[in-house]
Parts: sequence; C-alpha cells; structure tokens
Amino acid sequence: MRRSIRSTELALTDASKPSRFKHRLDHPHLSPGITSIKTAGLSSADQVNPDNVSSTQAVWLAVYLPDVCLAVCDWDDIGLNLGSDSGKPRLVIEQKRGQSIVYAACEFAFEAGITAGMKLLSAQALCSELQVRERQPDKERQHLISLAENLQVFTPMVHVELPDAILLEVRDSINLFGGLAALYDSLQHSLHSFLTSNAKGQKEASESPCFILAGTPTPEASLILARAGQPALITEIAAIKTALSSLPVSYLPLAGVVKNAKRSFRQLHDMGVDNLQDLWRLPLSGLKERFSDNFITLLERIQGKAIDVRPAHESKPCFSQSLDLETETDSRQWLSYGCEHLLEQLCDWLGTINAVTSQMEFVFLHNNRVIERMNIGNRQGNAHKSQWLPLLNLYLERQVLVEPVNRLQLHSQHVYPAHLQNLDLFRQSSLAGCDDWSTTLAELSIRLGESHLFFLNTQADHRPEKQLTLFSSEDALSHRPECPKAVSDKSQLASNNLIGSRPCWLLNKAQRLDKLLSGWPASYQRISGPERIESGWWDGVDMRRDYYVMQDTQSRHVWVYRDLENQHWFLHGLFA
Amino acid sequence: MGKLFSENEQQLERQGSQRISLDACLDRADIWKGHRYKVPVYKSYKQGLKDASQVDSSVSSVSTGYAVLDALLPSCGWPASELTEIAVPEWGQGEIRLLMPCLAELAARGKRIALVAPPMTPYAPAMLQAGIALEQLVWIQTEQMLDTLWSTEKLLRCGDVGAVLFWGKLNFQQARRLHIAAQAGGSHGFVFTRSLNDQSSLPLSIRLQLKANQSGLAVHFRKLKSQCGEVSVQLNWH
Repeated sequence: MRRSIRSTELALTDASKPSRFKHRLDHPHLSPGITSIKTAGLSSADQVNPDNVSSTQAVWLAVYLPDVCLAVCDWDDIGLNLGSDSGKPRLVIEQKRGQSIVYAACEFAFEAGITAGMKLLSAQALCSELQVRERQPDKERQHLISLAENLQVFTPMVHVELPDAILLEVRDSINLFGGLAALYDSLQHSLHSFLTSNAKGQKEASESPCFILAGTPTPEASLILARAGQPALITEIAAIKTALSSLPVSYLPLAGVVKNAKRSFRQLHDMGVDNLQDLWRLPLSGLKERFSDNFITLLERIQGKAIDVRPAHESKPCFSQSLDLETETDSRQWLSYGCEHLLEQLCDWLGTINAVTSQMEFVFLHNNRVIERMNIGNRQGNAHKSQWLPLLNLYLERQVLVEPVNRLQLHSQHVYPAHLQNLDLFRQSSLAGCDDWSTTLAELSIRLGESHLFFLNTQADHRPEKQLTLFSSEDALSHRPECPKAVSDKSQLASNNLIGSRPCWLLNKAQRLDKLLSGWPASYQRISGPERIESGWWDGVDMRRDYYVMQDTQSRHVWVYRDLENQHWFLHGLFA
Repeated sequence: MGKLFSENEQQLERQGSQRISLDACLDRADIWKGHRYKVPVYKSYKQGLKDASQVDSSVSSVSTGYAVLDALLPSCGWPASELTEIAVPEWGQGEIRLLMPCLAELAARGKRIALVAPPMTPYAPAMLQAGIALEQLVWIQTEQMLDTLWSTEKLLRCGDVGAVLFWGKLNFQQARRLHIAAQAGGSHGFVFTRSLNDQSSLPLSIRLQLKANQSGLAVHFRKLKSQCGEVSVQLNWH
C-alpha cells in the first residue's frame, strides 16, 4: 500500500516533525464492515452504535485522498511492477518563492527520508533516482470533481473541498441504503472501484487505492479526522470532542481562518497546547482574547455550535445521444437527415432546461469504430435549430467520409444557462433578419478554416515586423489587457505630418532597392525622414535602420529604409 | 445635473467658436432630413457646393472625410448598401488612405470592418493611427476567388459589418449578387481592382480610378450614379 506525505500550510509550520503527517496504516477498506470501525480515542463505553442515528442529526462524511496530486501526474514507469523496489521514487514539487519545494512524496521516497516541505535539492541529495513532477492543481481539481459527480448517487449534497477532499452529507440517504452501515460500505466500495479504474495502470491491481473516510455530525470535524488518517464514524455531536482530543493541534485548518497561521501555531505551542484535548480544556473567553474571532468560530464549527454551510457541487449538464442507421451509408443526404434529427433532440433538450450551447461534436461510427469527428462551434451560445442548421449543412457539404457509417452520435458539453440578450430596438439588421456577427464568423471559419481568419493587434516593440501580432480568434484579442486604443483625437488625424506615420501595407519581405544614385535610391524623392529604429540587441533580431517616407516613380508614397549595417536600401511598405 | 449643464455649455461655446453655419450643418450627412426627396445632382462640384435640396437623403452614407468628394457624391459621402469599384494601376496609390476617414467613422460607430484577400499584410499600427479600433477589424485570407466572393457576400449580409474591402475582378452576375447582399446588410462594399479602362458594364453605383501624382491623388469618376459624364477631382495630401 502506498502512503504519501502531503505538505500543507500546517506541515510547513512544523517541518521538524514530519512523521506527524504520516497517515495511519489501518485504512477503513481493510476493516471488514462497520462493526470493526473504531471511533478513535473513545473508550468502549463511549462507543456509539452507528445505526442509531437520530433523524435530525446531520452526518458529514469526509473522503480524504492524500495522494491525489501523485495520482494525476504521468509517470515514466506506468505498468511496471512497483511492488518490487525497482520503481523509482516519485515526487511532486511546487514552486514557492523561486524554490522547488517537495509537495508530496510516495512511500519509497518517504522511506528514503524525503518529507514534504523539503527543498528539491535536499531530496535529490538523499535519493539520486527520483521522478520529479510539477504539481498540477487543475488536474487535481478535475479529478476531485469527477469523483464528486460519481458520488452524487449517494446524496445530492456533495461538496468538493480543495485541494484533496470531498464532503458528503448523507442524513437523508441513510434510510434509502438501509442504515448508515450499509451506506458506509457501499460508499467504500464505490470509492474503491472509482479510484482503481482511474489509476491508469499506475498501480498494481492488488494494491488498494489510498483514501480515508471519516464521518461526524460536522464537516470540519470529519475533515480533521480524515486528514489525520483516522477512519472514524461518529454520530453524536457530544462525542466529537473526545474523538479529536488525542490529535495534535497542527491538524486545525488555520491557514484560511487566521491571518498568520504559523504565528498562531507557535502561540498555541507556547501556551503548552499540543493536543486538541488541551485546547478543549481552555475556556473560550480566554482564547477569544488571545486569538481572533475566526479562530473561535472554527472551534465552534468543529463542535457543531456554529452554522457551517457548504455549497453542493453542481455537475455541468451535458448532452449525449446516438442514432443507429438502418443500413450503412455514406450518402450526404441520409447523414444530413440523421444529424438533423439528433440536432433537433439537442435543441429540444436545451429548450427544456433553458440553456444554450456553444459547441457540439458529431461522431460518425461504423460498428463502434470512429470514422470521423465533426466539431461545430458558435462563439455566442445558441439553442435554436435554425441557427445551427446552416452551420451543420455547411460542414456536411465539405465533409467527405472515407467509409460508410451506421451510427451517429452527438455530444455537447459546453452547455450554459441562457441569458436574455438585449437587442438594439432600432437596429436595422435585427429587423431585416440579417445574420449576426458571431454566426457570420462561425460560418467563415467553418468554410475557410480558422487559420484564414485574423484579428490584428500591436505589441510594444519598435521593430516594425514585431509590432504586428495576429490572432485567429476574437476572444484572444479581447482578453489582452494591453490592447491599444485607436487615436481618437481628430486633430491628430488631420495633421499631414508623415514622420512617425506607418504604412497600411507591409511587405512580407522587404524588397532590396538596387538602383542607387550617389548612395540614395535612384528616382525616389524624399518626403520625410529619417526616423531611426534601433532595437532588438537582446533577442538576436538586432536591427539598426533609418526609415524614410519617399515618393517613387509612380508618385506613390512608400516606406523605405537604409540598413545601417550594410548601407543597403529596402522597400518595406506602401502608404496605400 | 449641474455638471451636465456646464458641459453642455462648454460644448456650445466650443461650437460657437468654430462658427458652423446653418447650411454647413444641414449639409452634414448625419443630419436626417425627413422632408427632402431624391433630387438628381446636375451640377459638378466646380459650380459650388450643393444646396440642401440637392442632397439625396434617401441614401444613408458616411462622409468621405474630404469636402470636395462629399460635395460631388449625391449622398454626401460613401453610400451605404452600395458597391464602389476602385481601380488603380498599381497597389499603393493611396486607395486605403482615401477610405480611412470613412472606415474610422464606421469603426467608431461600432461597426466591423473586413478586409478580404488583401494583396499585402495589413499593418495594424497604421490602422490605429487612422483611428480604427483594431478589435473592429478582421482580415480574411482566401486562396480562391470563389472563397473571396463567398466570404464577401456573407460579410456584406451581416448587419454588424460596416464595410467590406475586397480585392478581385467582378463580372456582371457577381457584382449584381454582391450588390443585393450589400443592400440586405446595409453595409459599404469596396472592390479594388487593377484593371483600368475596363469597358464592361457593371451594376455598380460608383466606379472610380485613382492615380497618385506629385501633390496627391487624382480621383477620376468613371461612373457616378445620377451624374452625367466623367468627373475628375484632385485631392492633395499636404
């Protein structure tokens, strides 16, 4: 079994005692049934019967996944036999103040003496063969969310507690599952199967995934118990204090509660408070004077004396529907009918949940083998078949199937709630039934391809070639904060001063002007200049140029420069 | 409220100092003149500015930014819902500079401006200098004339697009079809071509030729709706 050590804010506060955060070995899934679950720290007289739960009492189950950050990373030795000592120890690091700090270490690394909060260099000194990966918080979040969505079969009240836990409030589901014991068992089973199937072959089949499940009437207490590695199940509020009493105070989640968690822990230590038991003994009024109100509220939340509201995770709606064709076909007409039918179902569904979608994917299959995928998107979400149908037809016109298909699928995951839009009352186009901008853009990008649409922008660089930047999507442009504003002062526009003005057309490659007359381009007439542009020594594209506006033989205004390195003349742009 | 009044007063003072005459004010293309009817313009610009009765107010337009051109054009500016052909011997005569004031005005109104298949890379700093907000500008690169025409039609039909500038040579049917698209979308269409002295008859309201010269740009109207004969105008850059 793999154990892992996590670095939390708490761990950093007390890095001298890393063994504190080592999880207990007795995981709940090893215990055969609920009868063997011990409520930690309780004497046998205080033990509660888990089935004897009063109906008004909330039951919060905390699922703690200590090695979620290890599980989401891709490792080199996937599929290798890790049971032997051949596997390289794994480390997950994070960057803190410019230094790589060990965030989590696998069991082998821990045995080698590597603990969370250690610098990467020290870890490498302890063990030469390490696999090191950067922490991926987004992937961890995704992993937790997908687990939370799986656990929604137990209760609608599932809360994702970042970065490594999930909370479930199961009071209303106890009767459905035939008692808390049965619920607990099936939850364990479900967790086990989910984590094993998601392990992507990183672990052996025999090795059990690591999770800790703890339950108390308050969410904070459940989390503390689970993070302390104590698979307890407590159903009475009065028993919480006793269950937690043996735990060190460093398990208190102070990081988000008080301003300086480190100082608070030191303060507690100086007061002689090491275990939570010591804390329970102190009068609240005295603590209130030493710590902030938030600290007292936290203690009250743990004991169920203060209200603790956790938002339930809402899964994103998504649409998935398939259609079996009677015969294999690659006829555009038949496919068009099929796609239209699926699209109609999607639009009906969107209508019933009052939502819009911005992207959908048609999949063409032959005997469950994917032949072609077709992505259709519209930047502005839409729920109307009439808006999607032209895009669909446009796509189908260009689509060439390499093989006939007998099954169509339609998926849409980008579903958003529909907001009423404000349309311009006097806008002519809305009256005349013109296409709007987003539809036109979507049509253009489907027909021509995204790489044929450009939005222009400038960047702060003096070199003319570097000044222009291109984006293929409008969103990328609008999200750039430094998007410059157009000159609004009309007087500036009216000025005829050509110095510093830029040409409309820029030649992709500057044209060498060969014919020179006493060092100047022959038959070119200088209008303004020179404007010296000298920049770029730092990135290797060094340039030293004198730019002139000139009139050529056809009386066109052109942008010409002399390269100061070699005194050659080049035509670079046209004032079209 | 107090602040608002004082601002208005300041504005009035500023206008007063510029002394805009009533006629000049009425000549502005963006003043709506409900009781005017379409009256053909017979006088050329040399005979003086049109008086208000000769302004074709049935056509919405955007000022060209050049007084002589505004005076010459029946709609007092580049007409919307129409196609304008601009022929040049070589790219770079000043054809984009001619349209810049109009494009800046359209962009300021929140309209999109599309460049379809331009011959060279549009240079963003120049557009900014001309007062065109870059987020209003889209550049579409096509490989075939068919795609150019298709994209142009789509864009002209789109109500949010103010002007479509495209490069290519049109035949009668294509010009007719794009004209209908421009009418549907109410946008300005500008087609740039290098074929001078093209004798073919196209259903375009304005066809002009540009030739850069020493002092500026010679604009030669080969065809102007409701105008007899050909007219030439000289625009000076300086």
